[in-house]
Amino acid sequence: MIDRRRFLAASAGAALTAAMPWSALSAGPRLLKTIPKSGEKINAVGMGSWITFNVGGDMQARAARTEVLKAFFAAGGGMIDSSPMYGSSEEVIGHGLAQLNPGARLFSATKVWTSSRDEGREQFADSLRLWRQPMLDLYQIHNLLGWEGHLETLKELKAAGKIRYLGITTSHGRRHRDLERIIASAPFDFVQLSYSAGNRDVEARLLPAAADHGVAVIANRPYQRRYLIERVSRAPLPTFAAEIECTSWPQLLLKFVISHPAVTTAIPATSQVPHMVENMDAGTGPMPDAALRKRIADAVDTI
Amino acid sequence: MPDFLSYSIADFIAFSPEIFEGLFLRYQVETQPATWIGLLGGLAILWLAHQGRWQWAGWVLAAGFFWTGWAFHLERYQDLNWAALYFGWAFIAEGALLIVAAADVPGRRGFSLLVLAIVIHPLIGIATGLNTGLALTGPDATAVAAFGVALSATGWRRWLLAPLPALWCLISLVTAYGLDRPALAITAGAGLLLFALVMIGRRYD
Repeated sequence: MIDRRRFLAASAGAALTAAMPWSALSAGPRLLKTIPKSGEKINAVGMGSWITFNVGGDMQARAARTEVLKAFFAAGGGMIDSSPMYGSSEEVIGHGLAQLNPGARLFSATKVWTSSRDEGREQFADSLRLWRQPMLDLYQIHNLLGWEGHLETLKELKAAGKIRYLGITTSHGRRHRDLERIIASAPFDFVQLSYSAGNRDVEARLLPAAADHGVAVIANRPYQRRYLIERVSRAPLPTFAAEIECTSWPQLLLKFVISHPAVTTAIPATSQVPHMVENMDAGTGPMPDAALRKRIADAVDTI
Repeated sequence: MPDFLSYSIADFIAFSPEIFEGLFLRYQVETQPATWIGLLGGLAILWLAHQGRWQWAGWVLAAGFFWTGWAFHLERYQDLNWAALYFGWAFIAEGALLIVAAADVPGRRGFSLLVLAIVIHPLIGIATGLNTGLALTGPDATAVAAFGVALSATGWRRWLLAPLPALWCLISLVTAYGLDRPALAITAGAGLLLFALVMIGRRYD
């Protein structure tokens, strides 16, 4: 399902992409995934902003992050995820968006990060101001903090047209049993969790539960920050990586995450344009099937 | 295992080492000539303490706490780290405590910590290439200088003056560890250690 806003945005996005000389980007079609509860399509590679966009008033660093955003949108990127917990990240994203004006190509995702419901409402107003957006696409409850109270606020915001989707997050493999219970009983559209080739805990119960209940999945920490890349880079890239057109470990690791049927989007974070281009290219070309996914996991486990 | 035990220190550091180091440089450029005024203030503190005029030394240092709390923590560091709101007010509170509790005492107990904060700290910065500001304008050196004034004091005054700088030095150590830049907190670590050693040694005086 694509509405007029999205259609116009896609047209504007195509023009924006054509105007940008991102010669390093692969030209092939990019993997789109479907948000189960709406049918909306979204690029399987999004971006996170933990650490990378928290640059405060450093104008040189802000300009560099704007270039990262430009590369993201040029590659057809949509979802940008942030949180009030991430220092100045929301403000720096807003600063970049104001210059790039991506319109509805942007799929904005941020979080409420407080146990107080009243403070949560204030945080939402702050987030709108910092992102410089009239509404946000996805509003998530950070790490289940005060989730029952915030859920009511999120419902009100959705009814008022201030957000389109409701979400809830966890990270580092915490509170999985609680999260499983919540997505089975509460009307969340998205769940965000940590998933990577080196951390596959969620494969057993949470990813199947999300699929069963029609909840879209955002996979954070696909590289376990930098740890997983540093770990696997000690070994040569497996020869089977060529079967899915991967030329680097990060691409192979990212294809592993986004090729899981229950994963909607992965959100690697970077502060560098070449890494952004590499991340976005992971969303092109053939994806690993179940057998190849197992070979990737086995390869990672042996390093 | 409780949830909080699954966190690492790095999980609480929301910025990169490069941005943190750049913050100090930007702070100094944007607030000139504050660094030079702070340097003169630091030298004045050394002279005053050398003369045994610890109360005046404490009052000059209080101005450094007020400035660092406001101009560094509240105005700048808070952009990167929400907890700097509390750091800023803690520094301002320490400034107020210095005004209340600093008193003239005979002797030069604590002078070594002033030397560490005001003289050796900039040399450490030059040697490591890591800049965390000078005494009276940078948080670590300012906190370590407060140990010097605390050590010179006696009784309740010392216990009033020491906890907040000690807490800041611990935070600085944790931040440097989380950023994988241990050299950032050499002065804070050395100051904390020296203060602890002097306090332990004094128990057996």
